[in-house]
Amino acid sequence: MLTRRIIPCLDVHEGRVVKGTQFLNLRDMGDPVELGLAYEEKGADELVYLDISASAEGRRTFTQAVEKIAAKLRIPFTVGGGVRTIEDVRRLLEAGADKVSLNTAAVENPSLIEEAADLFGRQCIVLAVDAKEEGGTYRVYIRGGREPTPWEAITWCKEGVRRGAGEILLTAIGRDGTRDGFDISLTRQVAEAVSVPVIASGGAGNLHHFLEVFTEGKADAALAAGLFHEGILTPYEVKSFLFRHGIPVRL
Amino acid sequence: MKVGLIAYRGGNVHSIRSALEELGAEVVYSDQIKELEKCAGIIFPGVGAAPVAVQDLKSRGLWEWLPTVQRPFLGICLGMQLLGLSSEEGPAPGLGIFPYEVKAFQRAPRLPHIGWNLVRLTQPDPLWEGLPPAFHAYFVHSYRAEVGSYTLAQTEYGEVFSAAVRKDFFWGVQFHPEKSSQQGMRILQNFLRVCLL
Repeated sequence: MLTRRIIPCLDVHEGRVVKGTQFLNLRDMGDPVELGLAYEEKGADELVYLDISASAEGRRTFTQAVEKIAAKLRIPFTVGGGVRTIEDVRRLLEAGADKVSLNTAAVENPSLIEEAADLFGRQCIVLAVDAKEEGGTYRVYIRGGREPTPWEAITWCKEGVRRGAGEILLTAIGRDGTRDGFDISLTRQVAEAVSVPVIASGGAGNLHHFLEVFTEGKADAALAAGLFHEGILTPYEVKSFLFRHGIPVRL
Repeated sequence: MKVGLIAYRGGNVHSIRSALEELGAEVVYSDQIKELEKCAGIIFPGVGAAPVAVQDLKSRGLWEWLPTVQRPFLGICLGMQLLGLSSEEGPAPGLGIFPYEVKAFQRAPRLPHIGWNLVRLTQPDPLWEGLPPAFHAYFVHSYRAEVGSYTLAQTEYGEVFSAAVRKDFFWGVQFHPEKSSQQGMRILQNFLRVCLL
């Protein structure tokens, strides 16, 4: 049986893994390769690296980091952040990333999803969707969650899959960093609406949150950052707990 | 020891290349038959769509050569699928080493089949040296080969399919050993050992 995946997410700034809130008080956490290997060791099924550099120089450094990660890591990894064009997708895949996530650029130019899926295969195109609850529905936000769009989240996810996205990375931005638990309602609605795997993100705070997002939320994978970076839980601990509660995982 | 890694369009070969190098192999990444024939074994990677891959292999003059390879040969993912008779993806022709027709999943809960799934070994093989009878490996695909007498391992995703196959010197794995952590590395190491024989 296909297992549920646990995915740590690492923010990379100028080639270094950082921690911080809203781009403020960035704290150096270490080297992306070493941290990635440590997570592989601790049972991560996959990793996500997000480039939060704003400069062209930062992006070049990120591409070099992707090459080094690909040379050492023996589990798959997705990269995203600032991916604007087909050339960006190509550069990151050629650097060795397994998948590339599209967010703002996909909303602004939805045909980018089709182009990327046609050229590189839908299995390596992840649509990252940042959603916020507004009056009973979920609205898609772009530019790191700062700018609202006219898209309703479930509709946008379906549209993205129709255009060729092979996975949805779904972040409930109202939950991000809260440790209050994943947005189960959002996750479930998207998981039931699309045919591709859904990665739930935003709000992981304890073991029960993970269990809940897989059982009630119907997620295929769950992503967390701070919880893992601070050493509160390891992917292995999460998976051991899930295993004891009957969720198929790789141990 | 030299291992040939077939260069053609559509293969993300970074990971497989670095994995083989980490295991001590000298990787010859080439589409030149002359260069590939100097290698003790051949790795046939594959990511992307079958028709594009077939067309590209033909234009490089590799298509007719592939079935004639007389040394350990490992097809990975699409590389394994192309060893069959044909693929429904496209559709595209196969190399005809194995008698399977590659078809889309019919009863899969979600597609693509992405993630770690259980590989159950069904026949002993040098490739499985040191591995448990069942282990998790990383898959990314939407088409699969049916189970037959050539099957070395099987996996279930709505239906049971071939996770690994073998005929003589030809091996194929549907999963990505280069992405399957330590157990995947063990499989590659075992393949390199076979190449040394």
